[in-house]
Amino acid sequence: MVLFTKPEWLQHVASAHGVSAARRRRVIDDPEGATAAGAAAPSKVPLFSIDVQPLAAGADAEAARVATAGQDGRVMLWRLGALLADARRVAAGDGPANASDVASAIPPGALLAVLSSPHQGAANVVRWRGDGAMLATGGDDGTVMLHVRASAAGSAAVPFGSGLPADLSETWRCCRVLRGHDSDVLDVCFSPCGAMLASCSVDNSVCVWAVDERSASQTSTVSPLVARLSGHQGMVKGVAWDPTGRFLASQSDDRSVVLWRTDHWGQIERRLVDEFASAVTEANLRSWFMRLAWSPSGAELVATNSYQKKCHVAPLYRRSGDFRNPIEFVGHRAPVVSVRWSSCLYSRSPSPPYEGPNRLYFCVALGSKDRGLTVWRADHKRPFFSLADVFDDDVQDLSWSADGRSLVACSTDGSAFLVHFEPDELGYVVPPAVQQAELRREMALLSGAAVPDAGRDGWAPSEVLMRADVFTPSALALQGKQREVLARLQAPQRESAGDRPRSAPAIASATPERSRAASASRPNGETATASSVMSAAKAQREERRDGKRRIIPVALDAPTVTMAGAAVPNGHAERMTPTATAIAPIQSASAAAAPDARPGVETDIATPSGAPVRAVKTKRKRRLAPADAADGARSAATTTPSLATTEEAAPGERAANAAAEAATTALPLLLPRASDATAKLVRVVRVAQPSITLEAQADAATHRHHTRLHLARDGVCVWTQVLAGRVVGLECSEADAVVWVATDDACVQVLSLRSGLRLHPPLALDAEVAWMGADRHRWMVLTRDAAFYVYEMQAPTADGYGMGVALRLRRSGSARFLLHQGVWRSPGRVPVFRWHEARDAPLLVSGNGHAYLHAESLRAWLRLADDHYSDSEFFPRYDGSKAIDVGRLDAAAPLRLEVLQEAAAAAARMTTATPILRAAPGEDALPTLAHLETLCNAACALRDAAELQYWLGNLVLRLTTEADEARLVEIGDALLGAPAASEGKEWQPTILGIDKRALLRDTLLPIITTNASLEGVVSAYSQALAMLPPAEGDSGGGVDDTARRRLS
Amino acid sequence: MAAVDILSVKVNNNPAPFLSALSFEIAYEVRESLADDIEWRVVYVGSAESEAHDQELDAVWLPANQLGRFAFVLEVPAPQPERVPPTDAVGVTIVLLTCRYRGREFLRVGYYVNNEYPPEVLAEESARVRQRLLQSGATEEEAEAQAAATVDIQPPRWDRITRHILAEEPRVTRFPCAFDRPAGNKGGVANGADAALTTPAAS
Repeated sequence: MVLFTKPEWLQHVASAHGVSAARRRRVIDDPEGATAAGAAAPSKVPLFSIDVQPLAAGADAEAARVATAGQDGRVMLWRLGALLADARRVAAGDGPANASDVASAIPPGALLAVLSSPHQGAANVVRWRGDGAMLATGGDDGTVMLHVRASAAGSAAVPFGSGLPADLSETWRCCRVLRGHDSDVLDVCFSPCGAMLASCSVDNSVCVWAVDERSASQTSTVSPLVARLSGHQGMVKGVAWDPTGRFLASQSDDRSVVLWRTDHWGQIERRLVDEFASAVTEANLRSWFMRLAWSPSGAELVATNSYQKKCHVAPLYRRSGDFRNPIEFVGHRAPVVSVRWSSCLYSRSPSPPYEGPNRLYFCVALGSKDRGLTVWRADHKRPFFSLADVFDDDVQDLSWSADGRSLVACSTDGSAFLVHFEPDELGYVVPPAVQQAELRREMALLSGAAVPDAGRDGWAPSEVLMRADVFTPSALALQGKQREVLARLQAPQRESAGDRPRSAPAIASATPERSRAASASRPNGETATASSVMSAAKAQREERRDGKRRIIPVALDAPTVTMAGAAVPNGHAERMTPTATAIAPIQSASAAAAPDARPGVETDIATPSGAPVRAVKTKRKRRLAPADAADGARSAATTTPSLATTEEAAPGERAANAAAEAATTALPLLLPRASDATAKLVRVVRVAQPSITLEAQADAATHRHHTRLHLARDGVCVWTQVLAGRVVGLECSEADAVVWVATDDACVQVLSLRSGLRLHPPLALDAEVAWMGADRHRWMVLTRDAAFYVYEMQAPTADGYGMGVALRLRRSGSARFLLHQGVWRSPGRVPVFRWHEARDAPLLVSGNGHAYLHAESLRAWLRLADDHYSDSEFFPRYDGSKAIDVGRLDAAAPLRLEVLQEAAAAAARMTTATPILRAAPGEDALPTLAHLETLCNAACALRDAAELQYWLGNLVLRLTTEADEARLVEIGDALLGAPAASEGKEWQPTILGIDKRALLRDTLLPIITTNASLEGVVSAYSQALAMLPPAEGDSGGGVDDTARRRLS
Repeated sequence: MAAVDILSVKVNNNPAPFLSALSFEIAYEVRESLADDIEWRVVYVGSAESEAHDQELDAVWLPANQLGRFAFVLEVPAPQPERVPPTDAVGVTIVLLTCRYRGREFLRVGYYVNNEYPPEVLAEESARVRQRLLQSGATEEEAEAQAAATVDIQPPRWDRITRHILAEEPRVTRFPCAFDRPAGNKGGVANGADAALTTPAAS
């Protein structure tokens, strides 16, 4: 028997207060008719979207969350089980429970959460990611927001003043805001693997965003916008991602459905117009959604709002029929506005074989403005079920539950409707294994490939690059894995929402400054919550501004999920990496403390596209090549909000990301592109007079395959060169008077700085260039597959390849460590390459400020400076007065450890890095010691004797203070050479040219003497040293025996 | 998404004598750091009939340049009795907490306020009314009825009025606001007429 319900309690409730002073409502209720939030209107808030959370196979379907989005801008999460329970109650003949107001009518546990960040204006759409761990919403404010579950601790789950029960069990918070649409966002859709999101808007465009965790945690300066598709001439009202990943479908008021290619964004595969020629798109100034949908295998596409032969129909296009001659679903009396396919396969009988009359079929539901909905078998011309006049107003959206048995719908009338089918009505849902096999078979047919065997697990990297979100046979398996992981993550969550251990993070992850400030403001260590009135009143400070009080508030404990907007004004907004468990968001260094990259200051900043661009000293001085004068206003790469490419990630990698959200160990396959190939690229070679600027711009006429490169001296164009392909990187060396130009066909051209003359045949590298850096005569190329090459420029030689210059390979190898999350790029930082002469090796400062030296004999990079030790006393303190910057390394600055340290420290301010090595109570010295040890080793690696002596002295001083005898003895023995000698090993009497024993005797022992408890150590070494000839390497065995006896 | 949102308001010093200060403990969240301060104001609506009697009790600046959640106690002086129409001394009125950014209001929290005399004051007054009526020749019954109905005192005795803010029923209104984003880019602002045209099924 079909169960159904339209629960009264499921609505976006406006506060329901019964204050009798109606005459005073003028002021207090909905002044100026602003939003519906305060209106105690008799009609409910219209619901514009509904979506049921996808669940792992085998999970309890009733535990799924149902998200509703309403005109009030809010998104609420309900428990599907509560709706089903309501349906059963209706079926049993019980009337609705009467309650005085809506809020108290909500059954316990039915309302799980209200998303904490509402849209300004209506929320038009809400969609779950395929793994059910993330929500995307789009609203009239032109934004798309991504939401994840956060820990409930310390956060207000219920919006203030909503009148809802205050004991909601979950907190969902916004983790990212995607800005780019100019107007209302009407529909969104996650890509099959969940790494990308498409959104469409009344601004006639479709935007594609990278929303995987990696892009979220990468620099905030890299825009998540992958592509903006502008091919519609009307509002775009529905968007659907092809499950095979090849197409993105969108439907618009311009009476067309467009199939966009996902391997070349912007290219249109097909434009379907015939069925929509007479479609009506609005009535009485009211328009409606056109939420089209693909079948789960991608074999069919059902569009909305077609009007033919005086019937409102939904056309079903078959991929096998090249999207021609659609079947039509006829029957609705008004435009069809929403189509949703059940993700399940059904059969007439519960058991195989699934053929003949028992063959498998999909189900699709249509919602219409005729206030009704229909459920169809995909290949039938008559509906299975028709539910007429379900609502009092238009249907807006539909969604199926993961088990394929429940269908929910929502309406402008503000209510939601659930219908639940029995297997003998809709069909038996086939087991997941059968469904997987069937989907795989169908998808393989679609892609034209042979039925894939299980052994093949992905595309070759080059293919991956070409095909962004392409379905691969392994993707299904990975999706399955994703779901398993999810099931594990969800299971404990549901139980322990309330009593989850209060995670350390709130304070622990704050920067030291912040936590100190916070604890200082709360002398008792008491949590400043809304209830601790006295502490808040005492702790807040006041100043004056314009004659008014200015109150400095008390920061509350609970951290904020920070916004990682695409266009955050400061450019370095903090962000968190949302995890499926979302234990607690990370509060990072406060934005105020981070130094701004101000336009007037000469500094290296990363453009939105990530292109390394040196900002010019002043705006006034930045003049452009005449060719682009007209374009001047937006030509500066530093200010152009260019479309950034986020790399097209491989499906396998992406799924792995999602699968291992909690423990991200999987490495991405590729480094991000050097810059967006479509953007104009500007490189300021020299700021001082005469200034030199290089500018590459794709040719406007031919667009993508042809780039013009200009060099301007003091704003005057000196030469122009044309290049095949799009320029993705520019680097220049004044010393050698050459320009290197990397193009998207993985080639690097060497041109003359003076004239633009081609000096060398293009180097075709293994992969596209991710980055290039120059240090005098050396030039480093880093490819996207994280291999590096360092070339040296020479005058043409007899065996050289070039006409004007000869290249010599100085070093090559792999730098795959850069693929680790957060290493390569960081907000506001560009990497720096230097050649370390003493070591004759490349030194790379990555975007996060860490310095690495390549050790060829070890086939590894050595990390010499990092930001892990910000709790150390010796970690450089950044007081804001000195402009310490990675950029300092760019100049002819000596490659001193001190400089690297400062760069790392400065970078640490900019990133959200939290001190990894923290001082535990009672162990304050540990981070400092760790840091000093690291510094000593780094000084050795850099062959810097002065630094070594300095840091070793400090290390010994700290060890002495701590009375750490074991480590002192280890250092002492190493300098004395005693154990080595006694064991017959080779021992060097000097380190970096310093006499070890002299160092021990003259510098270190006097330090150790300061701690009386280490008297034994001092006397043992003093005696041992006294018995040794100072400058000679060999030492008598008896001596160190004595020493060792005395020590032990 | 609003850059600043309110998390909670706790009304301190409630109920309290009319002439005592009002105190609100306000918790708010900054989701996008703002270049300028936000301004919190407390407005006492002297009479529902006219905005002329609205009194701004105080306005304070608060920084919103750091992300996070913050709390502060806003204590403002009591409304000036002389600016309240005597006929509106007792009864239900309103106090508003508003938050503005660069002169644009984006958040409003309204509370109903009930002003009344405590029973003992009313008892005194009703005795006096009864006395006066009897003296002026009214019958015993009339005087009794009038006295029993006494809820107001003219001229008002401000020092005896008790102010009760109905703290558990805040009315929160959020207004669209562009904050630091340029108004051209929609990024946050929907205007009503526009929305009616473009939002599907906006009524």
